[in-house]
Amino acid sequence: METHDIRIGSHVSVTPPNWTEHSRTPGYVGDRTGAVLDDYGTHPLPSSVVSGEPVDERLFSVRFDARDLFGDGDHSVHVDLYESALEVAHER
Amino acid sequence: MSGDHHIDSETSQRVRDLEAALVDAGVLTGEEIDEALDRYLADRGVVTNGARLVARAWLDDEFRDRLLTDGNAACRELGLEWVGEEPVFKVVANLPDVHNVIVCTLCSCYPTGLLGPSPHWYRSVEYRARVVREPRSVLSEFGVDVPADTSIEVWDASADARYMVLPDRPAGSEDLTEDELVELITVRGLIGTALV
Amino acid sequence: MRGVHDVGGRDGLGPIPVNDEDAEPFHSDWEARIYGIYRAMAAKGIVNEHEMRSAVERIDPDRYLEATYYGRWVDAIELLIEEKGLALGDS
Repeated sequence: METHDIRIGSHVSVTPPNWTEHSRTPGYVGDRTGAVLDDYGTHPLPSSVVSGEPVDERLFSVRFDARDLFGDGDHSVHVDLYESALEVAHER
Repeated sequence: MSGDHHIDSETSQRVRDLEAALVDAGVLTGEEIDEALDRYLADRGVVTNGARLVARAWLDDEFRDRLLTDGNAACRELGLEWVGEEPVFKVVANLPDVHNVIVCTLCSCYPTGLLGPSPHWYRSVEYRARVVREPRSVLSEFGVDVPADTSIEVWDASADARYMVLPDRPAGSEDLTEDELVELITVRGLIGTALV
Repeated sequence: MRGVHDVGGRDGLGPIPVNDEDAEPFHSDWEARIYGIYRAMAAKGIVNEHEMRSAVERIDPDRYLEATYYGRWVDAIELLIEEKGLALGDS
């Protein structure tokens, strides 16, 4: 599966959240691309805990440029995202 | 303000009612609720545990490296215990040209088990919405003007990690003892809405 | 479409309430009480943090922005009590 390719240094794009689930993907990073800076190991996926069938997923810290998220700004935003929300992005 | 008072007294009644319902149903006792409150508030202050980590890091470069590499291990090293489940704890360092600020946009998650409950403004929708979008403007509302050549890193605690800022040690603090350094540190410094 | 709780980057929100006291954890007794109720339930495994956050996200969206932080907790705990049948005295 492609998700085994995600590691520190990977460029990843984010699947927008399904807002009716207890998704922990903030909407502002949906369809955006960032760089994986940290690997926090595996943790129970919150939406799966709420639905009663918990599964563990790898959790990554991903850094985004504000300009890519919002069109302006010179800061960076780090968001922690579960692997099922991420896909390896092709280099730009 | 009378509207707020009305909502407040109405909510107060709802809380009494739901506590009574839970106690009557045998789900909880009043004592269990009291104990839970005590556990989270006793000896926790708003800053002390975090300030101790910071002060030690300012005095000991090798501890600083360990703190930034593995925040959970650094807590154990200083004998600091988390209440409840311990998250991944990551400490991020301010540098002369880097300023960090912490938020949880989805709900206001915070390292409560180490630092106690979060400040009220941290939980506001205004803070949660704006700090990822316009951190300089938000920080200036807190009286922090970040120079243009200092980059800003915003950390959104959206999952199982919790973050704390390691402020830059202030100039003029060179002769202070560890206890005196602890006193300098504010909860805002640990979140990034103050320089220390 | 984003859930009402998913406010990161949203426009149109005003000044930060910076003067809201840092040192006092609760504005009123009921805030402390609902905090203790949640923590006691969590300590006993009756509810977990994921269920609690999910409940807060599912309160009436019109109330979400109006309610205070702990006001949302009250709504959420009422919802959980109902969904889990906690007040039925069967436990």
